[in-house]
Amino acid sequence: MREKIIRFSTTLPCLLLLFCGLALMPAAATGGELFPVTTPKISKPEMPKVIFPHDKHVDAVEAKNGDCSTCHNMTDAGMSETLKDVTSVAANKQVKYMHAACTDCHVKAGKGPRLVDCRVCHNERTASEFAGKKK
Amino acid sequence: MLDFITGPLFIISIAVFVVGLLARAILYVRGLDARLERVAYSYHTERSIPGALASIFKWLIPGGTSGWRAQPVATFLFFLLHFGAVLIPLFLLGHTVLLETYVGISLPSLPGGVADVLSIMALSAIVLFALRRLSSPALRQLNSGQDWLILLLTFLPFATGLMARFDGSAYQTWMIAHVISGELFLILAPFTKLSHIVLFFMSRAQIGMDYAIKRGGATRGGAFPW
Repeated sequence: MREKIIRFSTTLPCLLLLFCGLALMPAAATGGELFPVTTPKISKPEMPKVIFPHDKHVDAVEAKNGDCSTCHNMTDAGMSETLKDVTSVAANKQVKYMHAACTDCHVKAGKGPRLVDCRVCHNERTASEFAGKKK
Repeated sequence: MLDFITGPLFIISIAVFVVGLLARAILYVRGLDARLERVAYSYHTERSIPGALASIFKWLIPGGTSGWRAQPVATFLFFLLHFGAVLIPLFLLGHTVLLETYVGISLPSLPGGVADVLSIMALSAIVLFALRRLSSPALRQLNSGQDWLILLLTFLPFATGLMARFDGSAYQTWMIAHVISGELFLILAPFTKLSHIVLFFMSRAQIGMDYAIKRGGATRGGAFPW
């Protein structure tokens, strides 16, 4: 019940901001391919699902002369769709692996959210917009 | 900037906090009179140790001592603030993730809803404490800048943390403010009345020992809730 009240009182201003902001936002922020990050089922998910903006990352990797293999391993079945070695890590360590892999790279690159910026990646609005689009 | 304040500056803050509070604890013991206090406490350990533990334990229970019962409003506000002030910094999910990633210690974390409620409780307690400080004649006499300073130092990390939680539009700005205000708290804790984080335990232990040995402690069978 309490959650609902908070959600209601934040959705309205958020939507207003979104409409006002859409006109001003750079194309990169609104467009681009979005992928949900899939980790093994967490028994009680506490945070909104991470929706990964792939195109933004491709641009950033290409700007540093990287390519697909910067983030993806080649397997016998072709290029893996997951990040690096995440699938070979034990199921209960995959969240930790992703936290470290994402934010280490952001620190090295000098941009992108750091580990303290929880809700930049775990963003309720992005997650619910993505869920809405999929329907 | 974020990398500096969450990296080197954070390590410095933690170091000042830990070393500073340890120093406060050591200075407390050294400040006791050797003949009047320390000899008696270490000679009668069978009474001093239970007395110390009982005093700490009873003061951690709401209404557990007559000191608490004599001031119900202050007691209520105290616990309203301190549940959150102790549990949130240690067990908030965001904090435990950081601790696990950088230190390797993995602690259980609070459910999100509980953490929200505890933080809001703590924040409202701080506001009510400020109002009490303004309205109570006794407190107006005792008031010092330090008292306001520690209320502010506690208010800021909670307020900025909650703003980051609920105001997604300026999340990273709130987060920077949150980290800086948290570090300010850690750095200043040993030098302000926030040193009660350890000195509470030191003085409760000492008074517990004292009352269990002297002041008729032996005839009362040791510790009692005064």
